Amino acid sequence: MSAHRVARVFAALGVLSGCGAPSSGGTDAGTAAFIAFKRDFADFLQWEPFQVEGAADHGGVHLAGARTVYLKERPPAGSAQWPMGTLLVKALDDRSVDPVTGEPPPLFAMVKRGGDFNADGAKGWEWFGLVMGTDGQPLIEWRGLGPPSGETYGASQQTCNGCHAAGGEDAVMSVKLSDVAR
Amino acid sequence: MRNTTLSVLAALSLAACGTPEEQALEGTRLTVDAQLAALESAARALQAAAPTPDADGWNASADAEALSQMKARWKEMRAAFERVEGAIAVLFPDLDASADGRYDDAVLTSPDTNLFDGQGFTGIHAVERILWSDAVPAAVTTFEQGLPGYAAPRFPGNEAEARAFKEGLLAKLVADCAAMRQQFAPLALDVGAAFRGVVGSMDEQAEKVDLGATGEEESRYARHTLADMRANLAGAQAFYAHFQPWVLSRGEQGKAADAAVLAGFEALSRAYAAQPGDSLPEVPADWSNQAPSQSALQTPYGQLWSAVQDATAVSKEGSLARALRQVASLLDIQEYAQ
Repeated sequence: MSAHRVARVFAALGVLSGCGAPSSGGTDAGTAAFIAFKRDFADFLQWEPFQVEGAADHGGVHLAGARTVYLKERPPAGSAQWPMGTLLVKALDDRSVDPVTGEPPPLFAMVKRGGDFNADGAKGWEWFGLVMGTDGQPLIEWRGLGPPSGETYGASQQTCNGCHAAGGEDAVMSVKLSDVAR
Repeated sequence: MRNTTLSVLAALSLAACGTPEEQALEGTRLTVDAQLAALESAARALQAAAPTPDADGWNASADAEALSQMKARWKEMRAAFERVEGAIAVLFPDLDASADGRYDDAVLTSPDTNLFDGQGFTGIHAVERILWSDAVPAAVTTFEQGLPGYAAPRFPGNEAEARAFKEGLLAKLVADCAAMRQQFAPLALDVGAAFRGVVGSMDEQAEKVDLGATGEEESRYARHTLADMRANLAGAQAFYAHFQPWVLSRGEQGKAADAAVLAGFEALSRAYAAQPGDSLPEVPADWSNQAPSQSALQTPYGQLWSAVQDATAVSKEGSLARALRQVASLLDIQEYAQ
């Protein structure tokens, strides 16, 4: 094996780049996509809170009751759309467990993944269901274009895209982009 | 010798990566990256092997060599994809649907009026449906004829269709595979996402054997679903191997958990090895997933189904799935802990 061949193999194995660990978190600058992981939702209760006006449950029973949307980072001033990498988590203010199921109330999140992702729905947005882990940090229960089979948006039969694709400013319904992008 | 050298280099590179957790993450990343590279390479080779468009489209006699080459490349794609699908499908749901979707899902909302372009039903199973269109199993035809907008699969019948197949359907497949590889490359997986490679690969097998009873099986035209399941299992084993040093670092509990996982892999490997060929065994006429009869369970399909159930049922004491949850608990991977 030549020295060049060895170097190529090591490069492929990541040795020459510090084990090859990407430094960009979930962001892929080359293909314009932000793919979120558990760490991206850490300490979301410390993010900027927005109390959701009224307690309407959007026609179903998902997240009925007083609730707060947490925004990780405001968009740049003058943004006409939420930038790639935007993270929002929606949580009921009452976090006590359901007396029947023993489960805590669900958490939902939306992340601006960017590009053509979810092109037939709320373009660029990925949906998440989260649950609190034993360490007090959220875990990703499901993610994608909507809940997996057997999961729903809360207990309603609504789909994420069904409401958000045509709602709000760039699909965000509970935080006004025009208010925070200035 | 070359393989030995590469294996040593790989081991050295991983050993240089620090903690067992870091090694597991890096090993998982390298495994996915290598298989996605193989997937893209096979997709490009399949496209290159497609017959040059001519007036009569494809001819099963004149284009026999090209068909044989395309089928071989298709099987290489399946082997690469099924080894890592459990890890990546959840990260790329749009590309997974586009590259690995089923006909019944694709025509649910609107019919696929052109089988050969890059619209509507696309991906590796759309290609499979055309390549094996002259040998579709009767049960699959019966199932698909009941779908709205059903169009019988066939070879390209003219130059335009042959061109669309090569420059539309196959070009789309190549682009999807390349996009998956490009989008995965810079990702810094966390431990939950990495361990999903093991758990997701096991879930894939449970789904495949169940769907085999309904005509909805995954590689239904090529009769290749058992080969897919073997690749899923190989993928699960490869991903687990990256976590094994971390598991073994947890003392006696780690050794016990590791032994249970390896025993589960071995049992399922034996069950797969006992079945000949690449296809699922014939499903008994009276088969019921909910309450299979004793006689049905004695058939080759019943035995295979039982082996997969025994391995993948989290609720079953002693199952491989339960052992993997024990590993997750031991390593505090909360997403999959018991």
